[in-house]
Amino acid sequence: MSLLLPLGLLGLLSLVVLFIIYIIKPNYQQKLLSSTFVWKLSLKYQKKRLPINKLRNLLILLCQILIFVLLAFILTQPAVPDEQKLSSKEKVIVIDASASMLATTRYDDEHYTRFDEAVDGVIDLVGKTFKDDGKLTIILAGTNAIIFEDKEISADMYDVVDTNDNAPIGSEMANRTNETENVTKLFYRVGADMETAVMQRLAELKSVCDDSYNPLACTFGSADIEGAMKMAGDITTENPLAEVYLFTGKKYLNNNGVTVVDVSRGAQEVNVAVLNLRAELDEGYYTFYADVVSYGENVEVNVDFLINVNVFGNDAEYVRPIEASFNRQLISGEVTTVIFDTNGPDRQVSEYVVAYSSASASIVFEGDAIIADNSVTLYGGVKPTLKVQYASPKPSIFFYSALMSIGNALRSRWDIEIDEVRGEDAVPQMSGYDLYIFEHAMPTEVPTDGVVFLVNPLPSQQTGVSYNTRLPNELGVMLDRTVAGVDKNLIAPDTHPLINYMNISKLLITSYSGISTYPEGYTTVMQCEGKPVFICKNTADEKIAIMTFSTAFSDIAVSFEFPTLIYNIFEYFIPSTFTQYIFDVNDQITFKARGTELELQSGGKTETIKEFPKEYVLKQVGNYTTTQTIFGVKNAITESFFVKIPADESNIDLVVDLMPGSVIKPVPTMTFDDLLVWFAAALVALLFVEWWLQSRSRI
Amino acid sequence: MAVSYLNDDFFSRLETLALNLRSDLAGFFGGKHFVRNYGQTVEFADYREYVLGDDLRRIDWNLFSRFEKFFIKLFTDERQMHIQIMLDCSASMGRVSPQKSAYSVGVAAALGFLAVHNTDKLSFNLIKDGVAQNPYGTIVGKNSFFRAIRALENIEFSGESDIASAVINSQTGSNDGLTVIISDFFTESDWKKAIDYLCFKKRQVLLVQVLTPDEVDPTYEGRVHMIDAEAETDMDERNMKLRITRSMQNAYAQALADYQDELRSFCHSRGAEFISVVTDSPIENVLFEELLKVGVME
Repeated sequence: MSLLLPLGLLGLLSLVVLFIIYIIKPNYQQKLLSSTFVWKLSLKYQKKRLPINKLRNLLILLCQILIFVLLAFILTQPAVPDEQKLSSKEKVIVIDASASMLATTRYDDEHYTRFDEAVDGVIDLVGKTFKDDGKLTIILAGTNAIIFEDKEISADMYDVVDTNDNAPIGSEMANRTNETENVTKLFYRVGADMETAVMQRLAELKSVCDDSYNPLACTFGSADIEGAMKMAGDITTENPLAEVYLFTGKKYLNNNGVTVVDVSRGAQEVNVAVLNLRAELDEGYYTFYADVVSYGENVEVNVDFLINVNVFGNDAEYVRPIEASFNRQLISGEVTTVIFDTNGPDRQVSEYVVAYSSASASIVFEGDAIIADNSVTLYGGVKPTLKVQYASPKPSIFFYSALMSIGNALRSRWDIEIDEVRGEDAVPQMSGYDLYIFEHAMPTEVPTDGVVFLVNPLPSQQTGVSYNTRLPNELGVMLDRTVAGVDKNLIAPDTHPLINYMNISKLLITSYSGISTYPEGYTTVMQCEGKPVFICKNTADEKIAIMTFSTAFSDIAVSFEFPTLIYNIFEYFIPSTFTQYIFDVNDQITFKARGTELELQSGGKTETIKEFPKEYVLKQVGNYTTTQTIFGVKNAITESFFVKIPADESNIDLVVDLMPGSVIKPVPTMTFDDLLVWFAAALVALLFVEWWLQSRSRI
Repeated sequence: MAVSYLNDDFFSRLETLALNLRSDLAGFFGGKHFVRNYGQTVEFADYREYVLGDDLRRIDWNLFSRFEKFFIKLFTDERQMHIQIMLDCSASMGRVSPQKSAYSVGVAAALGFLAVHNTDKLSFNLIKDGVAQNPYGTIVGKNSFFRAIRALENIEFSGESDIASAVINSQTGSNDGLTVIISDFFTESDWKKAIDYLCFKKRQVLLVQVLTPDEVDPTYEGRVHMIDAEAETDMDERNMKLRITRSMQNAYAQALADYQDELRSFCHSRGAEFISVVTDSPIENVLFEELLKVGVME
């Protein structure tokens, strides 16, 4: 037992006070009696007293001394050194489960990966640790570092399972997901009594990894080494003598206190990878750039391109695949860009690529360490066309300019075609457009295959208006009488995506007609004098915006807010499903949709997403296809993207400067178990005994 | 003496009482106590046949006419008794509690008054150390009695007392009256020997134990250094240190009760009487209840 605050022993001086009290206190009060004769006779009647009664005073004094001593000791914060927690036999084992751990040796038919090598190493270490009667913790540094634990105990485990439930697509991946349900072992600071369970779990882990993917084993992404080291640091905080092992194929220049067990197989491993594929439009023709690399040794490889070219014939559009192969000598560790210029001298093909539905670059190399990074597919070679019809008897230059401006800004996503229908007698189209804008002249029916924007459904201030200014009856929207000659500011009752980046309150209107009633499903976006002047509805089958004031009687058209409003209409009603076509594993994608549902397909598995925007972590390598249903038409919009292994994970010779996190903790001279509770309990017991003895002293 | 029970009212109430002495006592001529012997009083007692030597004047001639035999007419005899009151004057009787000494003197005075009131002889023997002093001599008549009482109120209670020695060495007559010993009997001396001696002298014996309430039921507790009133120094072996607890108090009560039982049973075995009185009870109770109960008073 040690005293953390030895000065508390000064409390023993209270014993002096106790003794002084005993000394000062008159032991016997003198009393003059007529005779002590009867008292002497009574002594023989006292012989029946228990022996403890004779010791009572001594016991009371003893109790009081002990009470003061205990109080003094409590002040000193007594504790006992806990040597068990400082056992240097404790091991914390971190297994790198990144994609690079999937690397096999060059001539390996057994598909024996680095991960298997690591698991075997862990099994050896576990055996030695348990033989020395040590404790160990096994942390798997996968996408999210987790401790092998009973899933009923570990919330982290659920996180991983949930994530993978979402991510894997395809029959093979579906199997992988199911395998996570079998994780039942607990490996957190376990002792030798758990050796059988630990060994069995590790063996299962290895075999699972051999046969198929296990989300709790290797991932196709990067490893959360930092998270794993944080977990290890939590353990070394409690036991700074615990040794931390990292089983990985990466090299660390500064291990930062971690024992790195290299599971790479050196020259036996060669990895050839396609790191990226991009396409650039040059003079109307696409040129493809594939970044390829070799790690381990210099190799000569063929880089194969497969382009599904969209050919626009006179009668129909069709896809024609074209292929090209380029032989390159790759120098280990140097990224080589292979260029496939479909308009160049070595184009190899007769077709000019002005549009493509998909393009892929792949390498076939016998003995490749990681096969999953040998191919990359690029989509987005055909931009969707958005057709906009602007119909107005008196077109506004501001309107048209705003549309042109936004179309130019969004050309990377869409080809926006604007058809203008002007004049009182012109008849606008009621189908075939993605966005219909009707200004002043309202249609009698609402188009059903696109977004409808109705602007200023009011009679002109000028006389002689002959076009229809009434809103289509089917909308069920009723307007008040026109209020003119006012000078009022617009008000936004609530935040709405349609007024993002807009300062509504500074906009003035001088003539408007408030919307008196509108059916359920509409949302008020702007108000003037308490009356809605801009409402919208956005469902899978109805995408309508109604603005009941004219740009001519408002300063909105001459301000920055107007093109922003048009931009917001595109973003709100016609959002891009995703914003790029190639992702790395573990990247987060945000799905948006025009309809209410989006089907995500890959490898035969389909998942339906119904809430947007949807944050989604991409876990698997491969092609993903999204399909939306809008305006009652299924497969109306189909788009694809590709998920590849991160470039760093293809580098099987990766050297990292510094181990993230810190597992080196100051070693205290001793750790202690607090004894205050025990001392307090003893104090209470002594107080009780002393009270009991005092109460019995009068009997 | 600060406390005194002796006043006119006290004595006037005693005039209705008398000591009831045993009839087999001899006594002296001229008293008021009837004795078993035949005497010259006018109160007829019995007849017996005439024998030679009898006084011819006492022959009942009426009976001779009837039976033609001589019968002598016998009359009861009345004797004067000697009431000997032995008062323990040790320190234990008065040093601590003046009330105890006053009470003892009161009891002695009451019994003495009854004696002189019945024309008995009275003597106050003050027991101090091993001697029973008789400073007032034999008291006959109330004048002498009251003089003695006034002196008795001023006596000093000190020293020790040896009842046995004092009684044996006192001038005690035989078969001539009552000896009353007033004491707390908290003494190591052999009081039994004194009773035996008095019984040998064929005296009627009454022991009156006078106790204070504190002696009957000690209320003090805790660590007490008890100093005996008769102790001469602090180192006297009669002094004692004691932690008085509830059990000790119970033991004290038990010891006192046993001691009183011993006194009572010994007295009964010797034909003596024993009463124990507490000073907080009215002194009349002693006379009108306790003494009546044991038959000493009538």
